[in-house]
Amino acid sequence: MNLTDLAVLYGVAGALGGVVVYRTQPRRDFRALGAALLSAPLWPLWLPVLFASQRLERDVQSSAATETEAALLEGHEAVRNTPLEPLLPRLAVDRLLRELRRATERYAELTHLLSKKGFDRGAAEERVARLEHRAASPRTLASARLHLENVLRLHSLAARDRRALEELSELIAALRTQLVFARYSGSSPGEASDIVTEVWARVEMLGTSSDGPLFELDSAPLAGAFVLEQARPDSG
Amino acid sequence: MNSQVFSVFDELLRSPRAIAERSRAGGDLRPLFLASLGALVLGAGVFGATLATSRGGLQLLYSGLKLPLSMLATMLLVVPAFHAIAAGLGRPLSFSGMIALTLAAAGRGALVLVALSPLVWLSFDRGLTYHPGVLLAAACYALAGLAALDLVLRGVGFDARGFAIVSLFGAVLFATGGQTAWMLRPFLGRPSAPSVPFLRPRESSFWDALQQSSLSSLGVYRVTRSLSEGEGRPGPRLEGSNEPH
Repeated sequence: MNLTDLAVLYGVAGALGGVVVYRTQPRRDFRALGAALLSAPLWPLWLPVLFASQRLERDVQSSAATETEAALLEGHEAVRNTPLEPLLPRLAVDRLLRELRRATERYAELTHLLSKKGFDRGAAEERVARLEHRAASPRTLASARLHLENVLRLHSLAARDRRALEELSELIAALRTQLVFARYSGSSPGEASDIVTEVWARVEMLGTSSDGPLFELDSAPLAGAFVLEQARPDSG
Repeated sequence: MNSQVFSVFDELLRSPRAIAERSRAGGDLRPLFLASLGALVLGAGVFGATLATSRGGLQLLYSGLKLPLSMLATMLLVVPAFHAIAAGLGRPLSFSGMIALTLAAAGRGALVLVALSPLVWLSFDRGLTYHPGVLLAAACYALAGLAALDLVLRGVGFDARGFAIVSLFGAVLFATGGQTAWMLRPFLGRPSAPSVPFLRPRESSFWDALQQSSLSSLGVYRVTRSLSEGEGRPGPRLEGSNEPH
Protein backbone atom coordinates (compact mmCIF):
# COMPACT_ATOMS: atom_id res chain seq x y z
CA MET A 1 0.00 0.00 0.00
CA ASN A 2 1.51 3.30 -1.06
CA LEU A 3 0.74 6.87 -0.03
CA THR A 4 -1.91 7.29 -2.73
CA ASP A 5 -3.82 4.16 -1.62
CA LEU A 6 -3.68 5.44 1.93
CA ALA A 7 -4.98 8.85 0.86
CA VAL A 8 -7.86 7.22 -1.04
CA LEU A 9 -8.81 5.10 1.99
CA TYR A 10 -8.56 8.16 4.22
CA GLY A 11 -10.80 10.11 1.85
CA VAL A 12 -13.40 7.32 1.68
CA ALA A 13 -13.47 7.07 5.49
CA GLY A 14 -13.81 10.86 5.68
CA ALA A 15 -16.70 10.91 3.20
CA LEU A 16 -18.51 8.13 5.11
CA GLY A 17 -17.85 9.96 8.37
CA GLY A 18 -19.29 13.15 6.89
CA VAL A 19 -22.48 11.36 5.82
CA VAL A 20 -22.87 9.75 9.27
CA VAL A 21 -22.34 13.10 10.99
CA TYR A 22 -24.88 14.85 8.78
CA ARG A 23 -27.48 12.15 9.29
CA THR A 24 -27.05 11.99 13.07
CA GLN A 25 -27.33 15.73 13.68
CA PRO A 26 -30.51 16.73 15.54
CA ARG A 27 -31.15 19.48 12.96
CA ARG A 28 -30.13 19.37 9.34
CA ASP A 29 -29.10 22.99 8.92
CA PHE A 30 -25.91 24.82 7.89
CA ARG A 31 -24.29 23.86 11.20
CA ALA A 32 -24.88 20.18 10.51
CA LEU A 33 -23.44 20.71 7.05
CA GLY A 34 -20.39 22.44 8.55
CA ALA A 35 -19.86 19.56 10.98
CA ALA A 36 -20.12 17.06 8.12
CA LEU A 37 -17.73 19.01 5.89
CA LEU A 38 -15.20 19.25 8.70
CA SER A 39 -15.46 15.50 9.21
CA ALA A 40 -14.34 14.71 5.69
CA PRO A 41 -10.73 15.95 5.94
CA LEU A 42 -10.26 15.86 9.72
CA TRP A 43 -12.28 12.84 10.83
CA PRO A 44 -9.63 11.34 13.15
CA LEU A 45 -9.58 14.58 15.16
CA TRP A 46 -13.06 16.00 14.72
CA LEU A 47 -15.25 12.91 15.14
CA PRO A 48 -14.10 11.98 18.68
CA VAL A 49 -14.60 15.60 19.82
CA LEU A 50 -17.98 15.91 18.10
CA PHE A 51 -19.36 12.59 19.35
CA ALA A 52 -18.06 13.11 22.90
CA SER A 53 -19.71 16.55 23.03
CA GLN A 54 -22.99 15.20 21.64
CA ARG A 55 -22.98 12.31 24.12
CA LEU A 56 -22.41 14.78 26.93
CA GLU A 57 -25.32 16.92 25.72
CA ARG A 58 -27.60 13.87 25.70
CA ASP A 59 -26.44 12.87 29.19
CA VAL A 60 -27.11 16.36 30.49
CA GLN A 61 -30.61 16.31 29.00
CA SER A 62 -31.49 12.93 30.46
CA SER A 63 -29.91 13.63 33.85
CA ALA A 64 -31.86 16.91 34.09
CA ALA A 65 -35.09 14.92 34.45
CA THR A 66 -33.44 12.51 36.87
CA GLU A 67 -32.07 15.40 38.91
CA THR A 68 -35.51 16.95 39.19
CA GLU A 69 -36.95 13.63 40.33
CA ALA A 70 -34.15 13.23 42.85
CA ALA A 71 -34.78 16.76 44.17
CA LEU A 72 -38.46 15.97 44.61
CA LEU A 73 -37.73 12.75 46.49
CA GLU A 74 -35.11 14.48 48.65
CA GLY A 75 -37.64 17.21 49.46
CA HIS A 76 -40.11 14.56 50.56
CA GLU A 77 -37.45 12.77 52.60
CA ALA A 78 -36.66 16.04 54.36
CA VAL A 79 -40.22 16.39 55.66
CA ARG A 80 -41.10 12.70 56.16
CA ASN A 81 -42.28 11.92 59.70
CA THR A 82 -42.25 15.61 60.60
CA PRO A 83 -45.11 18.09 61.06
CA LEU A 84 -44.20 19.42 57.62
CA GLU A 85 -45.09 16.17 55.84
CA PRO A 86 -48.58 17.35 54.75
CA LEU A 87 -46.79 19.92 52.61
CA LEU A 88 -45.36 17.25 50.37
CA PRO A 89 -46.92 13.85 51.11
CA ARG A 90 -45.82 10.69 49.30
CA LEU A 91 -49.01 10.54 47.25
CA ALA A 92 -48.42 14.03 45.93
CA VAL A 93 -44.81 13.19 45.15
CA ASP A 94 -45.86 10.12 43.16
CA ARG A 95 -48.35 12.12 41.14
CA LEU A 96 -45.82 14.87 40.52
CA LEU A 97 -43.29 12.29 39.36
CA ARG A 98 -45.82 10.74 36.99
CA GLU A 99 -46.68 14.10 35.46
CA LEU A 100 -43.05 15.07 35.20
CA ARG A 101 -42.10 11.83 33.43
CA ARG A 102 -45.04 12.13 31.07
CA ALA A 103 -44.12 15.71 30.17
CA THR A 104 -40.43 14.84 29.74
CA GLU A 105 -41.24 11.88 27.48
CA ARG A 106 -43.60 14.01 25.45
CA TYR A 107 -40.95 16.69 25.03
CA ALA A 108 -38.37 14.07 23.98
CA GLU A 109 -40.82 12.64 21.41
CA LEU A 110 -41.60 16.10 20.10
CA THR A 111 -37.94 17.10 19.70
CA HIS A 112 -37.20 13.78 17.98
CA LEU A 113 -40.10 14.36 15.62
CA LEU A 114 -39.00 17.91 14.86
CA SER A 115 -35.51 16.73 13.96
CA LYS A 116 -36.97 14.84 11.02
CA LYS A 117 -36.83 16.24 7.52
CA GLY A 118 -40.60 16.57 7.09
CA PHE A 119 -40.77 18.94 10.05
CA ASP A 120 -37.98 21.27 9.00
CA ARG A 121 -39.14 24.85 9.34
CA GLY A 122 -36.75 26.30 6.77
CA ALA A 123 -37.73 23.71 4.18
CA ALA A 124 -41.44 24.36 4.75
CA GLU A 125 -40.95 28.13 4.38
CA GLU A 126 -38.87 27.62 1.29
CA ARG A 127 -41.54 25.38 -0.22
CA VAL A 128 -44.28 27.97 0.31
CA ALA A 129 -42.06 30.67 -1.21
CA ARG A 130 -41.28 28.45 -4.18
CA LEU A 131 -44.96 27.66 -4.78
CA GLU A 132 -45.87 31.35 -4.51
CA HIS A 133 -43.12 32.22 -6.93
CA ARG A 134 -44.29 29.79 -9.58
CA ALA A 135 -47.96 30.73 -9.01
CA ALA A 136 -49.10 27.28 -7.94
CA SER A 137 -52.82 26.50 -7.62
CA PRO A 138 -54.57 27.94 -4.54
CA ARG A 139 -55.25 24.44 -3.26
CA THR A 140 -51.59 23.45 -3.40
CA LEU A 141 -50.58 26.73 -1.80
CA ALA A 142 -53.16 26.33 0.98
CA SER A 143 -51.83 22.85 1.78
CA ALA A 144 -48.25 24.07 1.86
CA ARG A 145 -49.19 27.00 4.09
CA LEU A 146 -51.09 24.72 6.43
CA HIS A 147 -48.05 22.44 6.63
CA LEU A 148 -45.84 25.43 7.44
CA GLU A 149 -48.28 26.67 10.06
CA ASN A 150 -48.37 23.26 11.73
CA VAL A 151 -44.59 23.00 11.74
CA LEU A 152 -44.35 26.44 13.34
CA ARG A 153 -46.92 25.46 15.95
CA LEU A 154 -45.07 22.26 16.78
CA HIS A 155 -41.81 24.17 17.18
CA SER A 156 -43.46 26.71 19.48
CA LEU A 157 -45.05 23.87 21.43
CA ALA A 158 -41.66 22.24 21.93
CA ALA A 159 -40.15 25.55 23.05
CA ARG A 160 -43.01 26.07 25.51
CA ASP A 161 -42.60 22.57 26.93
CA ARG A 162 -38.87 23.06 27.33
CA ARG A 163 -39.39 26.34 29.19
CA ALA A 164 -42.06 24.81 31.41
CA LEU A 165 -39.84 21.84 32.26
CA GLU A 166 -36.88 24.09 33.04
CA GLU A 167 -38.99 26.33 35.27
CA LEU A 168 -40.46 23.33 37.04
CA SER A 169 -37.03 21.82 37.55
CA GLU A 170 -35.73 25.03 39.15
CA LEU A 171 -38.84 25.36 41.27
CA ILE A 172 -38.53 21.80 42.59
CA ALA A 173 -34.85 22.40 43.41
CA ALA A 174 -35.88 25.50 45.37
CA LEU A 175 -38.65 23.52 47.11
CA ARG A 176 -36.14 20.89 48.23
CA THR A 177 -33.76 23.43 49.79
CA GLN A 178 -36.69 25.33 51.34
CA LEU A 179 -38.05 22.16 52.96
CA VAL A 180 -34.61 21.15 54.23
CA PHE A 181 -34.12 24.66 55.60
CA ALA A 182 -37.57 24.67 57.25
CA ARG A 183 -36.87 21.30 58.85
CA TYR A 184 -33.47 22.17 60.30
CA SER A 185 -34.17 25.79 61.23
CA GLY A 186 -37.64 25.08 62.59
CA SER A 187 -38.87 28.13 60.69
CA SER A 188 -42.36 28.62 59.33
CA PRO A 189 -43.13 26.51 56.27
CA GLY A 190 -44.97 29.46 54.70
CA GLU A 191 -42.53 30.00 51.87
CA ALA A 192 -42.28 26.26 51.16
CA SER A 193 -46.04 26.13 51.05
CA ASP A 194 -46.05 28.89 48.42
CA ILE A 195 -43.55 26.96 46.34
CA VAL A 196 -45.62 23.79 46.59
CA THR A 197 -48.63 25.72 45.34
CA GLU A 198 -46.54 27.11 42.47
CA VAL A 199 -45.26 23.61 41.61
CA TRP A 200 -48.81 22.29 41.38
CA ALA A 201 -49.81 25.23 39.20
CA ARG A 202 -46.91 24.50 36.85
CA VAL A 203 -47.74 20.79 36.72
CA GLU A 204 -51.34 21.66 35.86
CA MET A 205 -50.00 23.89 33.08
CA LEU A 206 -47.84 21.06 31.79
CA GLY A 207 -50.92 18.84 31.75
CA THR A 208 -52.83 21.49 29.83
CA SER A 209 -50.15 21.84 27.19
CA SER A 210 -49.96 18.04 26.94
CA ASP A 211 -53.65 17.54 26.45
CA GLY A 212 -54.48 20.77 24.64
CA PRO A 213 -55.66 20.82 21.03
CA LEU A 214 -53.07 21.21 18.34
CA PHE A 215 -55.29 23.49 16.28
CA GLU A 216 -56.14 26.68 18.03
CA LEU A 217 -59.13 28.87 17.27
CA ASP A 218 -57.44 31.10 14.73
CA SER A 219 -56.37 28.18 12.58
CA ALA A 220 -59.58 26.16 12.77
CA PRO A 221 -61.06 27.53 9.50
CA LEU A 222 -57.81 26.83 7.67
CA ALA A 223 -57.69 23.29 9.06
CA GLY A 224 -61.32 22.78 8.09
CA ALA A 225 -60.63 24.03 4.58
CA PHE A 226 -57.72 21.64 4.30
CA VAL A 227 -59.81 18.67 5.39
CA LEU A 228 -62.57 19.61 2.96
CA GLU A 229 -60.06 19.99 0.14
CA GLN A 230 -58.60 16.58 0.87
CA ALA A 231 -62.05 15.00 1.03
CA ARG A 232 -63.15 16.30 -2.39
CA PRO A 233 -63.29 13.54 -5.01
CA ASP A 234 -61.19 15.58 -7.49
CA SER A 235 -58.53 16.48 -4.98
CA GLY A 236 -56.29 13.69 -6.19
CA MET B 1 -21.41 28.70 19.25
CA ASN B 2 -19.75 31.56 17.33
CA SER B 3 -19.37 33.78 20.40
CA GLN B 4 -18.00 30.78 22.31
CA VAL B 5 -15.42 30.19 19.59
CA PHE B 6 -14.28 33.84 19.74
CA SER B 7 -14.06 33.75 23.52
CA VAL B 8 -11.94 30.56 23.36
CA PHE B 9 -9.74 32.19 20.73
CA ASP B 10 -9.15 35.03 23.18
CA GLU B 11 -8.37 32.50 25.92
CA LEU B 12 -5.91 30.75 23.63
CA LEU B 13 -3.94 33.98 23.40
CA ARG B 14 -4.22 35.14 26.99
CA SER B 15 -4.79 32.18 29.25
CA PRO B 16 -3.16 28.86 28.33
CA ARG B 17 -3.86 27.63 31.86
CA ALA B 18 -7.61 27.99 31.27
CA ILE B 19 -7.28 26.16 27.96
CA ALA B 20 -5.42 23.30 29.65
CA GLU B 21 -8.11 23.13 32.35
CA ARG B 22 -10.83 23.10 29.73
CA SER B 23 -9.18 20.20 27.88
CA ARG B 24 -8.73 18.24 31.10
CA ALA B 25 -12.29 18.83 32.27
CA GLY B 26 -13.82 17.57 29.02
CA GLY B 27 -17.31 18.93 28.43
CA ASP B 28 -18.23 20.50 25.12
CA LEU B 29 -14.88 20.81 23.39
CA ARG B 30 -16.24 21.87 20.01
CA PRO B 31 -15.63 25.63 20.50
CA LEU B 32 -12.05 24.92 21.64
CA PHE B 33 -11.50 22.64 18.64
CA LEU B 34 -12.84 25.19 16.16
CA ALA B 35 -10.95 28.13 17.70
CA SER B 36 -7.70 26.14 17.73
CA LEU B 37 -8.24 25.02 14.15
CA GLY B 38 -8.86 28.62 13.10
CA ALA B 39 -5.71 29.81 14.90
CA LEU B 40 -3.68 27.02 13.32
CA VAL B 41 -4.87 27.59 9.76
CA LEU B 42 -4.58 31.39 9.92
CA GLY B 43 -1.31 31.47 11.88
CA ALA B 44 0.50 28.85 9.86
CA GLY B 45 -0.89 30.29 6.64
CA VAL B 46 0.47 33.76 7.43
CA PHE B 47 3.87 32.40 8.46
CA GLY B 48 4.05 30.15 5.39
CA ALA B 49 3.34 33.08 3.10
CA THR B 50 5.93 35.18 4.97
CA LEU B 51 8.58 32.51 4.41
CA ALA B 52 7.77 32.57 0.73
CA THR B 53 8.46 36.30 0.43
CA SER B 54 12.08 35.32 -0.26
CA ARG B 55 10.89 33.84 -3.54
CA GLY B 56 7.57 35.61 -4.11
CA GLY B 57 4.98 34.90 -6.78
CA LEU B 58 3.15 31.58 -6.71
CA GLN B 59 5.29 30.37 -3.82
CA LEU B 60 3.35 32.75 -1.51
CA LEU B 61 0.14 30.88 -2.21
CA TYR B 62 1.72 27.43 -2.08
CA SER B 63 3.48 28.02 1.23
CA GLY B 64 0.40 29.70 2.73
CA LEU B 65 -1.54 26.52 1.97
CA LYS B 66 1.12 23.92 2.66
CA LEU B 67 2.28 25.01 6.08
CA PRO B 68 -1.20 24.69 7.69
CA LEU B 69 -1.59 21.42 5.80
CA SER B 70 1.66 20.05 7.18
CA MET B 71 0.74 21.07 10.73
CA LEU B 72 -2.70 19.46 10.45
CA ALA B 73 -1.22 16.29 8.98
CA THR B 74 1.23 16.19 11.88
CA MET B 75 -1.63 16.55 14.37
CA LEU B 76 -3.46 13.66 12.71
CA LEU B 77 -0.39 11.48 13.14
CA VAL B 78 0.79 12.43 16.62
CA VAL B 79 -2.43 12.59 18.66
CA PRO B 80 -2.82 8.79 19.02
CA ALA B 81 0.85 8.56 20.02
CA PHE B 82 0.37 11.30 22.59
CA HIS B 83 -2.68 9.53 24.00
CA ALA B 84 -0.75 6.26 24.25
CA ILE B 85 2.29 7.92 25.89
CA ALA B 86 0.16 9.74 28.48
CA ALA B 87 -1.90 6.64 29.26
CA GLY B 88 1.23 4.47 29.41
CA LEU B 89 2.85 6.82 31.89
CA GLY B 90 -0.23 6.86 34.10
CA ARG B 91 -1.72 10.21 33.14
CA PRO B 92 -4.69 9.24 30.98
CA LEU B 93 -6.88 11.98 29.54
CA SER B 94 -9.99 11.35 27.50
CA PHE B 95 -9.18 10.97 23.81
CA SER B 96 -11.31 13.99 22.91
CA GLY B 97 -9.58 16.02 25.65
CA MET B 98 -6.22 14.94 24.28
CA ILE B 99 -7.22 16.02 20.76
CA ALA B 100 -8.42 19.39 22.03
CA LEU B 101 -5.23 19.90 24.05
CA THR B 102 -2.94 18.98 21.16
CA LEU B 103 -4.83 21.09 18.66
CA ALA B 104 -4.93 24.03 21.07
CA ALA B 105 -1.17 23.70 21.54
CA ALA B 106 -0.69 23.68 17.77
CA GLY B 107 -2.96 26.72 17.49
CA ARG B 108 -0.89 28.52 20.11
CA GLY B 109 2.30 27.57 18.30
CA ALA B 110 0.82 28.97 15.07
CA LEU B 111 0.05 32.23 16.85
CA VAL B 112 3.69 32.41 17.97
CA LEU B 113 4.67 31.92 14.32
CA VAL B 114 2.46 34.88 13.40
CA ALA B 115 4.23 36.95 16.05
CA LEU B 116 7.59 36.01 14.50
CA SER B 117 6.47 36.72 10.95
CA PRO B 118 7.53 40.41 10.91
CA LEU B 119 11.05 39.42 11.99
CA VAL B 120 11.28 36.82 9.23
CA TRP B 121 9.88 39.22 6.69
CA LEU B 122 12.38 41.91 7.71
CA SER B 123 15.26 39.43 7.55
CA PHE B 124 14.42 38.38 4.00
CA ASP B 125 13.87 41.98 3.02
CA ARG B 126 17.34 42.84 4.34
CA GLY B 127 18.84 40.18 2.09
CA LEU B 128 18.90 36.98 4.14
CA THR B 129 19.88 34.15 1.79
CA TYR B 130 18.31 30.72 1.36
CA HIS B 131 20.19 28.54 3.86
CA PRO B 132 20.33 31.00 6.75
CA GLY B 133 16.64 31.57 5.95
CA VAL B 134 15.98 27.84 6.40
CA LEU B 135 17.76 27.94 9.73
CA LEU B 136 15.82 31.04 10.81
CA ALA B 137 12.57 29.25 9.93
CA ALA B 138 13.73 26.20 11.92
CA ALA B 139 14.47 28.47 14.91
CA CYS B 140 10.98 29.99 14.62
CA TYR B 141 9.45 26.50 14.54
CA ALA B 142 11.47 25.58 17.61
CA LEU B 143 10.18 28.64 19.51
CA ALA B 144 6.61 27.94 18.43
CA GLY B 145 7.06 24.30 19.42
CA LEU B 146 8.23 25.32 22.89
CA ALA B 147 5.14 27.54 23.33
CA ALA B 148 2.98 24.63 22.21
CA LEU B 149 4.69 22.12 24.50
CA ASP B 150 4.27 24.54 27.42
CA LEU B 151 0.50 24.32 26.93
CA VAL B 152 0.69 20.54 26.65
CA LEU B 153 2.71 20.42 29.88
CA ARG B 154 0.03 22.42 31.68
CA GLY B 155 -2.51 19.95 30.36
CA VAL B 156 -0.76 16.78 31.50
CA GLY B 157 0.49 18.21 34.78
CA PHE B 158 3.48 20.30 35.80
CA ASP B 159 5.55 17.57 37.51
CA ALA B 160 8.24 15.00 36.74
CA ARG B 161 5.76 12.64 35.08
CA GLY B 162 4.34 15.49 33.06
CA PHE B 163 7.87 16.40 31.90
CA ALA B 164 8.52 12.80 30.92
CA ILE B 165 5.29 12.66 28.89
CA VAL B 166 5.98 15.97 27.19
CA SER B 167 9.60 15.00 26.42
CA LEU B 168 8.54 11.77 24.75
CA PHE B 169 5.72 13.51 22.94
CA GLY B 170 8.11 16.27 21.87
CA ALA B 171 10.43 13.68 20.35
CA VAL B 172 7.54 12.12 18.38
CA LEU B 173 6.28 15.55 17.34
CA PHE B 174 9.72 16.74 16.21
CA ALA B 175 10.36 13.70 14.05
CA THR B 176 6.83 13.46 12.62
CA GLY B 177 6.32 17.19 12.10
CA GLY B 178 9.75 17.60 10.56
CA GLN B 179 9.33 14.75 8.12
CA THR B 180 5.76 15.83 7.18
CA ALA B 181 6.95 19.35 6.46
CA TRP B 182 9.91 17.92 4.56
CA MET B 183 7.56 15.95 2.31
CA LEU B 184 5.52 19.08 1.57
CA ARG B 185 8.49 21.36 0.83
CA PRO B 186 9.45 23.78 -0.63
CA PHE B 187 8.23 26.52 1.68
CA LEU B 188 10.92 29.08 0.87
CA GLY B 189 11.68 28.08 -2.68
CA ARG B 190 15.25 27.77 -3.94
CA PRO B 191 16.34 31.03 -5.54
CA SER B 192 18.07 29.09 -8.32
CA ALA B 193 15.06 26.97 -9.27
CA PRO B 194 13.64 28.08 -12.62
CA SER B 195 10.02 27.44 -11.61
CA VAL B 196 8.02 27.10 -8.42
CA PRO B 197 6.86 23.51 -7.88
CA PHE B 198 3.97 22.75 -5.52
CA LEU B 199 5.89 19.74 -4.19
CA ARG B 200 9.51 18.79 -4.68
CA PRO B 201 10.44 15.24 -5.71
CA ARG B 202 11.08 13.03 -2.71
CA GLU B 203 14.75 12.85 -1.70
CA SER B 204 16.65 12.10 1.52
CA SER B 205 14.93 13.10 4.79
CA PHE B 206 14.24 15.95 7.17
CA TRP B 207 17.24 15.09 9.33
CA ASP B 208 19.63 15.02 6.35
CA ALA B 209 18.30 18.39 5.24
CA LEU B 210 18.80 19.95 8.67
CA GLN B 211 22.42 18.76 8.76
CA GLN B 212 23.03 19.90 5.22
CA SER B 213 21.55 23.36 5.78
CA SER B 214 23.62 23.80 8.94
CA LEU B 215 26.80 22.94 7.03
CA SER B 216 25.84 25.06 4.04
CA SER B 217 25.20 28.10 6.21
CA LEU B 218 28.77 27.68 7.48
CA GLY B 219 30.04 27.56 3.90
CA VAL B 220 30.68 23.81 3.80
CA TYR B 221 29.18 22.23 0.71
CA ARG B 222 28.99 18.48 0.18
CA VAL B 223 29.20 17.12 -3.34
CA THR B 224 26.68 14.34 -3.93
CA ARG B 225 25.48 12.56 -6.99
CA SER B 226 21.78 12.97 -7.37
CA LEU B 227 19.19 13.21 -10.03
CA SER B 228 18.02 16.67 -10.82
CA GLU B 229 14.49 15.55 -11.56
CA GLY B 230 13.16 19.00 -12.31
CA GLU B 231 15.39 19.20 -15.34
CA GLY B 232 15.57 15.46 -15.96
CA ARG B 233 19.35 15.25 -16.15
CA PRO B 234 21.58 13.21 -13.86
CA GLY B 235 24.90 14.51 -12.70
CA PRO B 236 26.94 15.71 -9.81
CA ARG B 237 25.85 18.86 -8.07
CA LEU B 238 26.83 20.95 -5.12
CA GLU B 239 24.17 20.29 -2.51
CA GLY B 240 23.20 23.36 -0.64
CA SER B 241 24.81 25.83 -3.00
CA ASN B 242 22.94 28.74 -4.42
CA GLU B 243 24.46 28.15 -7.80
CA PRO B 244 22.10 27.19 -10.61
CA HIS B 245 21.67 23.42 -10.84
